[in-house]
Amino acid sequence: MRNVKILGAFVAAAVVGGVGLFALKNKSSGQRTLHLYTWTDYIDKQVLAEFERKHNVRVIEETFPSNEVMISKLKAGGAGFDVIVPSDYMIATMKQDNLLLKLPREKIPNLTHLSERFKNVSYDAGGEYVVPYMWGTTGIAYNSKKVENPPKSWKEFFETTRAQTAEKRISLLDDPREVIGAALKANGLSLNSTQTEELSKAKMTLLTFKPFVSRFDTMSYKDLLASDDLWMAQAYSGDIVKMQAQNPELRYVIPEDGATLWVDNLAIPVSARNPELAAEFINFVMAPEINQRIALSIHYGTTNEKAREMLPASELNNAAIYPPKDVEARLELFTDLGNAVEAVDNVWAEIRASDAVPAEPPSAQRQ
Amino acid sequence: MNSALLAADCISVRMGERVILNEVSLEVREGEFFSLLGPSGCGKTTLLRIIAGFSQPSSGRLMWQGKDVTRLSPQHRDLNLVFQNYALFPHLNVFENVAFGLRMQKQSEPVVQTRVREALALVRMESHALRRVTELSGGQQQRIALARAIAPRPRMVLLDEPLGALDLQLRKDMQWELKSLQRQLGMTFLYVTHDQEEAFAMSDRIAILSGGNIEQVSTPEILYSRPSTRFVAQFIGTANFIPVDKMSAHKARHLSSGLEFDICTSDERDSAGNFPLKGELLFRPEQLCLRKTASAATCLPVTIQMRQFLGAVVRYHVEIPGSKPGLLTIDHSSVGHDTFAPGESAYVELATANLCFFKEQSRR
Amino acid sequence: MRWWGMPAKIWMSCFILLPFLWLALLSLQQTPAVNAPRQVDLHQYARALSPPFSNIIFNSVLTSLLAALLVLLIALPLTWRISRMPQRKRNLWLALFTIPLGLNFVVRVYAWFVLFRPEGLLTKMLLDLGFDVALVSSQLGVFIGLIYGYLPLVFLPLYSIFDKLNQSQIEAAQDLGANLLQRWWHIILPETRLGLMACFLFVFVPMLGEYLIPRMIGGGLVATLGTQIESQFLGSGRPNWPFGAALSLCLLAAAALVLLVGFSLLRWQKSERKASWSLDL
Repeated sequence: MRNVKILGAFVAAAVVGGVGLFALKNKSSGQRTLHLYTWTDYIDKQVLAEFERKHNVRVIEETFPSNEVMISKLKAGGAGFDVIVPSDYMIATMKQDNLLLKLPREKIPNLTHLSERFKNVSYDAGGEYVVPYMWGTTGIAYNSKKVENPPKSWKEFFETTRAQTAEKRISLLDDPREVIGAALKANGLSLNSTQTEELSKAKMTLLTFKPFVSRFDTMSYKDLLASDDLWMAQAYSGDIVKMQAQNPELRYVIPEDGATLWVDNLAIPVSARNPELAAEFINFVMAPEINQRIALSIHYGTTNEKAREMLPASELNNAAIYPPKDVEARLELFTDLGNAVEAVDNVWAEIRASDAVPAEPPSAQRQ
Repeated sequence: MNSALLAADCISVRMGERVILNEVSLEVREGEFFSLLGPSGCGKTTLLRIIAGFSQPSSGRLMWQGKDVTRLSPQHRDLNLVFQNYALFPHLNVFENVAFGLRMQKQSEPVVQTRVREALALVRMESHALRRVTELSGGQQQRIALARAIAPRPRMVLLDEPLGALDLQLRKDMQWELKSLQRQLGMTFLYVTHDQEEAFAMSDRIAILSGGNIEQVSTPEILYSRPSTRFVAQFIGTANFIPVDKMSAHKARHLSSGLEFDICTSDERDSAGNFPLKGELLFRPEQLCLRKTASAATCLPVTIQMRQFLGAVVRYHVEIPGSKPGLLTIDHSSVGHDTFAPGESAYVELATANLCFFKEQSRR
Repeated sequence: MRWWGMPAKIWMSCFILLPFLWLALLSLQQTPAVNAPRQVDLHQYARALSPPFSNIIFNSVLTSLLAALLVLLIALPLTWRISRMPQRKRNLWLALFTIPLGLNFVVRVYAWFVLFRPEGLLTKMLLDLGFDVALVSSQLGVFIGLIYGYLPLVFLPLYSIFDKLNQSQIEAAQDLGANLLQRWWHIILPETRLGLMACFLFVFVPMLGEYLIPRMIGGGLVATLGTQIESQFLGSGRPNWPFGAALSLCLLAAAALVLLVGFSLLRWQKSERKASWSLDL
């Protein structure tokens, strides 16, 4: 009995001590925390560390694989995120659902450095709620050594003959709009279609392609491409540029039959615990010197004009990051589908839940 | 002479530096009640487990009717074990417990029924056939364990201190039952115990073990009256030792009193073949008699230290003044003898013939 | 002293009973919209119990049953061997087998993913031996991952069951003529069956809802009950909480069913032979 009492006293002391230490640590530095909810590998860790030092705060970074997950978490009563990074097509719904705080523009003077085209975007008139952060494209990545006849379009990408040579070495993004969008483009249809027959065609393409797919993955596919576990993937432009340092055989191509242009934005959710700190952070990130460092580390297109001017030629001439004008014309933005998004969701659910359909002969597909 | 059923041939068990059994050889004959007797730690349980097949000796062989069975697994040996803690199967009822061995032998159902019934009748537990074993008392469980062991009709039954957990009266009853059962069945029983009285009460022959060695194997009478080593002498019954010098092959003398005694023939001489040899004489309590006066020639003066009334006998502890070791234990039947009180002086009359002499023990 | 149980009762009500009721109510909603009409509707269950989800549920239950069984079968001889060892060796081996539990579950699964992927060591080795198997993005990979992930959990409970076994009973059985198989069937299994069933359920139930292993090793291609529930609440594609709730209750029902079957199986095993002659006692 005496031993139990001693043990109990020990445990109690440890708990009190632990809690006390923890509280003391936070109290003594008077630290506030910034909760950042963003895409994987989307900001330079050194930049975060510098922000922590400069403003004497702690930054906690959490990542999500798709906009839908981010929205879910936010709606579920997210863990008090201060800064979130939604994509363009989500903003309209988020504004409608009153999820975003109006930006305190006077606290973010660095907004003047935005490029002209990003100062007044279609999804956020007057830049009231979001600050465009980085932009990029979604295209096809492949290993030039392993894939002999690399695809130049989404149509070629989904071809089963080529897929067979890279069977189980292919990945698609874990993102319904991107995947179905690519299939729509492969069939020569609009990226934002919600028509039943058109979605049906896209579904057919995907179901036929599914047996060759190894993963639906947004977060770790680039590492698998680097390690040769994947030979072909639906990929984000910046991811591939980053991985080319590790695996020089990786190539990125913007498909000829159309690709997504997306813009990710910085925003402050209504439920933010430290909105002033969030504004400070956004301003910090928009400072040209900082922004240029971020752009150099994540290899996506920056929306900041001043920062862009500061980039080295090697970066600016990389067609994967800053494509030439004629290629830019091929790019499409996702639009907000409103309630019609349910049709896309159903197709996504069916694709993910079903066993794959055996490949149909090409003649049958031309319906 | 009955044939040897089981023979241990120079069985040794060594664990690192420790010797647990040292070249143990013995024979168990068909139909006899044989006991392994010894204090705790003497190795008797180890020997039993080797015989049962749960252990292997470091060296030596075990022979069963002439065949080497040292490495034979327990289920193939034609002997059954009655465990110290009964080891009944709790999830089976009494009947199924007893029937277990028979079912393993794949006996037909009628045979199983008959044999189990017989076994239960022998231990007088027929009416308990359908009870759960956990509901039985210690003594009842013991009997079921016995029935389970004998039902398959093995050639030999091994019993590992089976009565240890029972109270005195029950133990005495069970001893009687075991002996008569063995007689009735004609089975060979190999019994392991540390209780000398128990072994004597039931056995035809006894092997005495100490520290991994066999001290003596013989009938209870011979062990009692003609122990071959001092250990056996002092382990069995009550032993009194009086220091003497052996003067010749048949005579020994008590130095301080000059008394002379006839001893059993033995060939113990000192290394050079010379007498006198220093040693001790064994006197059992009944070979000593207390007298008020020095009556016969072989009397020594003593002082009464303690008197114990044990019912059938009265036990006196007496001291021979000036003699080492001091105390003697003397039993008188409680009727027809003089009584003595502690502190009194008296005389002890010693028997003069058929005594056992033991050489002086060298200090280990 | 009756109020000793109060804290536990309060905890159970707040954190188990109430959420369960909320989940049940949620599953009766017709649409995922927050302001859906308040009417009782079994639409979600209809969807859950028809293809393709019925197949997923069935497959998940089957896979989990098999995986849990295999976990037990693998752990049994190992743990048995350990329980017969001398004390010091015993602790060493138990520690060795249980240390993986100290590692983060995700890290462990990821380690196997590294071995399982197409360029991974294990896959390459198998290829050299002539087996061209896909260990990731396949049912097989998920199956192996499940077994590996849950194996360290059973060693300690199994060991404690075997430790309590009475060695002399097993020796008595052997002495009376039972070989290894017979000893197991007649003595060891009947005595340990309750504990074994508990160990089985101990891994089976979590396996049903497991979503990390199918996600990481299955690459999003292997659809299990766990991954489906997760994607309905959090995943890519629009969340559908009522449907997720319905799936969750299906999971609970499946687990409850297996529990029931399991325990009635235990009782069935207890067939007793009656001594016929004793009827005239």
